[in-house]
Amino acid sequence: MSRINPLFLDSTKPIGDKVVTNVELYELVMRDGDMVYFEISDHFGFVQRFAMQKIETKKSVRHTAEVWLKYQHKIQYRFIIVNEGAEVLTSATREACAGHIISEKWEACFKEPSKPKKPKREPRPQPEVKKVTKPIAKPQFFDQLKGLIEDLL
Amino acid sequence: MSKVVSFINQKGGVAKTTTAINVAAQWAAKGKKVLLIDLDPQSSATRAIFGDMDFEDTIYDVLTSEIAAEQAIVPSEVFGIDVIPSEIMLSGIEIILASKFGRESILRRALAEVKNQYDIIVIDCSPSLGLLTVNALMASQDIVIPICPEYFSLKGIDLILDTLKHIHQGLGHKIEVRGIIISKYRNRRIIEQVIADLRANYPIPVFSNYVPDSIVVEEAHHRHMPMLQYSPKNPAGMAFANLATEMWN
Repeated sequence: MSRINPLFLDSTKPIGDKVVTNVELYELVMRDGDMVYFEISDHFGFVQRFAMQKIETKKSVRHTAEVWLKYQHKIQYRFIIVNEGAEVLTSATREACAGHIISEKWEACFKEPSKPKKPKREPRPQPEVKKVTKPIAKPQFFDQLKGLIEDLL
Repeated sequence: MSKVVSFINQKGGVAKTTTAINVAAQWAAKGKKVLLIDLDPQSSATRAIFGDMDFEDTIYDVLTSEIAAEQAIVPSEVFGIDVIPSEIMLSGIEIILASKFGRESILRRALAEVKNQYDIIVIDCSPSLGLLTVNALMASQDIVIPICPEYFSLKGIDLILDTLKHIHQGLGHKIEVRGIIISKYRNRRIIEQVIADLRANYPIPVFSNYVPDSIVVEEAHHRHMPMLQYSPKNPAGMAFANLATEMWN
């Protein structure tokens, strides 16, 4: 069952209709040469990257991009910082239903170094348990037949 | 270009109507052209301003597209404002609106015709977060949240902020929270504590003029008068005057 509240769905936009989604990223501090991209993948696994523009006002600095998406279709996205062609930092990958806006605060995703896994123990052989099945009820067929013959006689 | 501001809180009894009508009257007294829309099926604002008068044309008829918004406007000489009254029929309107194309923007479209005639349009919302309130929010650029300083009110703010986020995301409309209005204020330690929590935990400004709890406000409702006429020197009357100035600036 869908968990989307229909109260907050645009009734003028059928699901799958193309909408402009404004992507906003706040509180990102970049170094020289850094570029920030919005990366999106749809449910077919098709990945696209969009460069984000810096918009600086008196009160805040934000990075924005405009992306055409299919309304309410599921997407996966993340923000990537690239320097000299290499990915320097990335945010966690999130899942969302495409709407009119994606607005987030920058939060870098630091993956923990993977620990060497211990080899799994083989499961101990279990002692065989004989299954004794009991009928749910004793068959009554002969009793019924006997009763029927007695009735006939 | 006029502003549209909604007084919203899904919790009842937090003085939404009292604050909305008194602040609207204060703005009108300062020479602003104000339209107040009663979007509450309980018609509290309509009753507080006009008493038991019945109206042929109400906000119900505007939302069902029976009439234009202009036809439902009634002037109130005592309050100095124009009002679009409400009626109890409004309680069933969500079923009618639910299947309509563009159901969330019906009020916004209806107000487009009259918007330029006013400096400010005040919407007194119903105590719920249904389609009526979504219509109010879609028609507004700003909202204010009146609350009684108590534990349950703080929990309600989260719900309002969540609603605003969903409206921004799903319907593409950004709404500014102008601030929280402290109503029914009493000088008690626990109330001060709640207000301190509010200031510390929410990124929303709290208006510095609190409206004190006063029986005189209730008396003013009974006489169908704004506080600025009924008892302007009363602490609550003065608080409304200061709050109106603080909100306008």
